[in-house]
Amino acid sequence: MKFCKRCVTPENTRPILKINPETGICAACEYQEAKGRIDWSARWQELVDLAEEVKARAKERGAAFDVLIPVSGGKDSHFQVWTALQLGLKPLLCWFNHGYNSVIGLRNLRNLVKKSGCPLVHYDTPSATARKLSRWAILYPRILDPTFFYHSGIMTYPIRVAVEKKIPFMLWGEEGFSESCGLLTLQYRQEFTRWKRTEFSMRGVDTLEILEDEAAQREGITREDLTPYFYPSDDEIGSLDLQGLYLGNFTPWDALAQTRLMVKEWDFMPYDQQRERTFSLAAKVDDHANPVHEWIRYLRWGYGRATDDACTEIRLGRMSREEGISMVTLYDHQKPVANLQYYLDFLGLTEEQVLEAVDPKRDPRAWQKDEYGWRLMDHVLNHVDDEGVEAARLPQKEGTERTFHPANARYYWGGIPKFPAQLMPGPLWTL
Amino acid sequence: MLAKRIIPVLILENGNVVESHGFRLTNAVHTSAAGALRAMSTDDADEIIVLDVSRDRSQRDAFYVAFDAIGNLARCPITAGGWIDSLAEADRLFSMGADKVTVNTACKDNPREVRRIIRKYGKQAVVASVDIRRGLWMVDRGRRVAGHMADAIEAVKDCGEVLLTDIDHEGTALGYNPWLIEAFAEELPIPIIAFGGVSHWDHMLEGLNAGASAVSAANCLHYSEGSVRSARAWLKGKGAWVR
Repeated sequence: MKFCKRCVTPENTRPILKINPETGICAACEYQEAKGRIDWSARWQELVDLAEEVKARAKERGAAFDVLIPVSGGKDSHFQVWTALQLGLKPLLCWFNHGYNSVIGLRNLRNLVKKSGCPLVHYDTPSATARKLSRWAILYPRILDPTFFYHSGIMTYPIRVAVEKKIPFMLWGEEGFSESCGLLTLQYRQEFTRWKRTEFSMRGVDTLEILEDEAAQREGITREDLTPYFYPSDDEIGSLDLQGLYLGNFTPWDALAQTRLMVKEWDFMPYDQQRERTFSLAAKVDDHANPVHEWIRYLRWGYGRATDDACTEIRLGRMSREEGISMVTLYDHQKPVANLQYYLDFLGLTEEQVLEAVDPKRDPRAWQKDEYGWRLMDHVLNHVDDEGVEAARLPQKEGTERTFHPANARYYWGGIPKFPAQLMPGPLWTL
Repeated sequence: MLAKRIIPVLILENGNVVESHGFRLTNAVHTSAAGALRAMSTDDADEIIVLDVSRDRSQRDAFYVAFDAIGNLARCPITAGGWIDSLAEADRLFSMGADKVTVNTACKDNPREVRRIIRKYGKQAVVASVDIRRGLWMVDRGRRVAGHMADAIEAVKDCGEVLLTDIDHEGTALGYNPWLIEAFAEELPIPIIAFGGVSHWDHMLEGLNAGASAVSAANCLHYSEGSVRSARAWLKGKGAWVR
């Protein structure tokens, strides 16, 4: 298997990650590099002008809100809402509650509503529905993901609200598929599109297909369960002239800087203990099903969340490729023992049932079965000294900009505690 | 007067939809070609052009599979292009449902085969794809100089249409090269499809004003909802003669 010469991404990612045949660098690294060539002050001005236009349009219609912001309560949500307020917009926050919330996630969401003073509309998934949909999705061969229903909900419910409340403007955070896989480029303004939602967030399974599926019928999934997942019609969207833009198109997206800012301004709270599947303490802390989703991803494709997080750090020059590889080696294979058992109990399944569904769908480039069981065919550890790695290396940042600098101990788990717990910076338990 | 056409272009490498920037294939966009077709709201397109820009022929079968899926889904004429160097290859694509084919390198290397395709299917079914870089005619996916612009004009005059690309504009998001379109429109009596560089619908209007009979785009159509439909509405609003 080929790995990017700059970061640690393997070639078998989804969405398809193209590796430049000449340099050996992946499209996501090129995407990050392209950020350096963009005139960000002009982009910001573009957003300021757009905000003025949106405000004028809302005023004309006598609307109570200018912009709809889909939020989960995480660091990115905080930053989106904060930026919208800086622009003088009147946001309506929209939350799809999947029910798998972590304590810290709920605390952060409450914090967001309190600090921003913006109203929040939400859809709460009943736990019976969450169970049915997760049970179906974790065993359905095209999905194999317990978090399927909420990825679908997060990408569909806000559009329904926008149509219902007639808010023609949505502000999303980063374009995640481009940041992690270089799906699109920054040359054009990326907009929220139905195809990204259906092809990637929903794995190509549209809502009507779920209703028609026999296994889903056996689980007792009804049209009522699927209400928030039906996408509004083209006419509804067209008549509203609905536009969803990504904040990542107008500011050079830097998760660490934004998290620091949000901790300082709005008291956002990162996680404070070592996590099972990654070293990042600020990303994806709002739900506790994600480790299971990540673990299944590792079983299918041979890489997991730590690869994603290490890549982000490497691309920003905060971590060397070697440090990244050690993070991948430490975390990617870890089984989220506690979370997994919790979900298996909740869904009434056994681990064997899940593995039985996952095994036939393992990527043969990553996994092969022999008499001892499944064997990982290649690992980024085999590609530490690949030809071209040195040429692809980025200049490294210094001081507090390094990922594992003690000043960043709140945002990244450094592996080895660098100082006694009582000296940890910042108030950790302010709940 | 004939209405001007809007033509989305799907750029395929080994069966995957990719973006091309100055003929460098940078990123893969969709999971499938059929998905790309649905996303672009191609029901509003006048035609579709599907180009196989793979660097070699090793995975040509993947292109056939993707082309087949597109053929099943599309409700407008389809032009197939890339690696068509013989009548036999053209035959194969026509039998798979192509309404036209584009020829590029064959115009230079194999004009006899191009004439054979024209004789069999008529010149309306053959679109010459011409890539120009700084006044030079480039072939073989922009890798080889074939002559000057004038040579290209001479070589393609028997074809039905020209798909005209300025390699230095392609994927830059700065618009077509209007001078190039004007130069070709002046010299050639056949319709010109402008391609390469669109990021705003304004660029399409520029292309039409420069003398193109049809405007096409690829990368930018992946970025917004119902892109072909909104391009059409925008052009109509500006008084362009589109369907």
